Amino acid sequence: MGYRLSYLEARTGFVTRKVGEAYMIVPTGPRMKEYKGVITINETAAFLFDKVREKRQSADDMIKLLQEEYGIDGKTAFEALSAFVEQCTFANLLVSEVVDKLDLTRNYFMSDEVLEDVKKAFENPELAKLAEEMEAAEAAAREPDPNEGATLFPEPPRAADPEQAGTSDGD
Amino acid sequence: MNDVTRAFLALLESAIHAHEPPPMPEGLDWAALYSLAMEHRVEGLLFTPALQASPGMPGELLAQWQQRAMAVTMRQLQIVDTLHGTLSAFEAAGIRAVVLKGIVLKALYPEPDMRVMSDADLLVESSAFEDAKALLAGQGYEEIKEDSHEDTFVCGHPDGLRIELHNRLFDRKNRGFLSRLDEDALFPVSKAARGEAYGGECWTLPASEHALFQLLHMAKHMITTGFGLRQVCDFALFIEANEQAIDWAWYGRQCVELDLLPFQQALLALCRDHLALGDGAWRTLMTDGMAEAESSRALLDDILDAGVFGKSTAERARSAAVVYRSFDSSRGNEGRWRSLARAVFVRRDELHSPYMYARKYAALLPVAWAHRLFRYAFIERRRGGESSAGLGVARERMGLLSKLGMLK
Repeated sequence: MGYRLSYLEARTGFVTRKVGEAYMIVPTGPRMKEYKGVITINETAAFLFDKVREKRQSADDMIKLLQEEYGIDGKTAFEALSAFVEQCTFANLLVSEVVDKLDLTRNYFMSDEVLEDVKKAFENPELAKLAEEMEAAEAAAREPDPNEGATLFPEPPRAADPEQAGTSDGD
Repeated sequence: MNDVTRAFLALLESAIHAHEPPPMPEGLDWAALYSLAMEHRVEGLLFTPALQASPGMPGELLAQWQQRAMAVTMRQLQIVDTLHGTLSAFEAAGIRAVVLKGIVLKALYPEPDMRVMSDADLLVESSAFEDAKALLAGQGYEEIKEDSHEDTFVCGHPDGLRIELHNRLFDRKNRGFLSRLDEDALFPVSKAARGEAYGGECWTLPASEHALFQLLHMAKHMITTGFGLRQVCDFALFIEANEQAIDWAWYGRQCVELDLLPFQQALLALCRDHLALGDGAWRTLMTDGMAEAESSRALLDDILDAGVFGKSTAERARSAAVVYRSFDSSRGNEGRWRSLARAVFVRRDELHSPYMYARKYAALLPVAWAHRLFRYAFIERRRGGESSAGLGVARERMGLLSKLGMLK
């Protein structure tokens, strides 16, 4: 599983709310047509989502924010952020770079029925072939990255050459 | 007042002032409390304090309440978002749409999403009424013909927001105190100013006028079926937030001129005694502590029984016409005849299902009158028990209205 994300930003039209002990993301405006209900999340995810709603964030900044807020070590913060990104990306709540692969054994924010459909889609040989071609094309288009596969979140894109953005180990 | 009612009021007061609720009595019937909260549409408001005071609440009910509160939050967020989009369209079109209650009052609550708003009342100049209707249609709203009147255009958005667009706030042909209302002088759109609202800004009436409008709105419902505690909470919070801005001398004069002072006093006493309305200039309106306390208790009983806008039971709904017509009857024989005539020869815009055909085709109005008489004679009268219960409620409510000085 690996991500190459240069930044994280919430898509517009979502707000977070705490109701009792529960946290949720609520779609508003045109998003109401895409999402018919609310997305329940935990406190950490609500904190992170509010941060990416406020402004575009780099992964390093998000990890620092998590450490400051919860007094946790870098590794724990990194894992929390990874889970958050996986879940939010799959629920299509974020604007970010393309996610290369998805670990379909994880519990995403979707019904079992939808999850099964997604799994089946990835089992489709044509789709798998297409994904491989896309991956190869993307790999050919970028510079070799020695940290690829071990690194989830690179630095934010540089104005001059966003494709050449450096990487961070997130810890 | 039983344990459930006491706990209900204590939680409501905690909710609107965002403080810890007092300990709840052992063995409290939480299910009954939840039902009462649902009747008054304050289940969202009560959820946080109920959670804080919930050691005795059954887990199943807690989960149900949590789900309900989340649903309320989602719905309210979406409604408010849609409304602000519509208000922006009004601004862009140069139409001043004045927001009454709704998002202005929501902003006063510690948890604004939990204060349920089912529709939005907007006031526009008569000269802008047609343009405003066209604008709403352009925004995707569809008219709800059954609820629209000469001065009110009611419409619904696909996202679920219902808007009542007014060029007048009260029906010109209203009876009782409303017939003495000089609405053009009291609530001109030109008096509105930009003010804070939940989710942004909007045009709103000045504090004194807005407080008076709330009082009149409650009084209007009081003379039919009654009103719920949510309106009382709105009023208490509005007074707390606008204590200095309200011109109490002007406000008091309006209450006297409209024969609403005893009602106002009972309402303020209720807010003071049960919703912790703090000391303030509003006390200048109070005159007789004992009488006010007694009226306030009777008013509270009626409100608790009412549910939102008094539609908690079929008997209350049936009693409405009897109570309302008593205003005409109280004006001597002429009034009594007029009342009877109006009971039979109902205006087209007052007709509801199953007489909607006459609203569509004016020529069928006499048919609708005959149809109503026929239904009453051969169908409604057979429901003798239910009608008697309705009359009983009506008699009780007329007694209360007399006590509050609203029925002479």
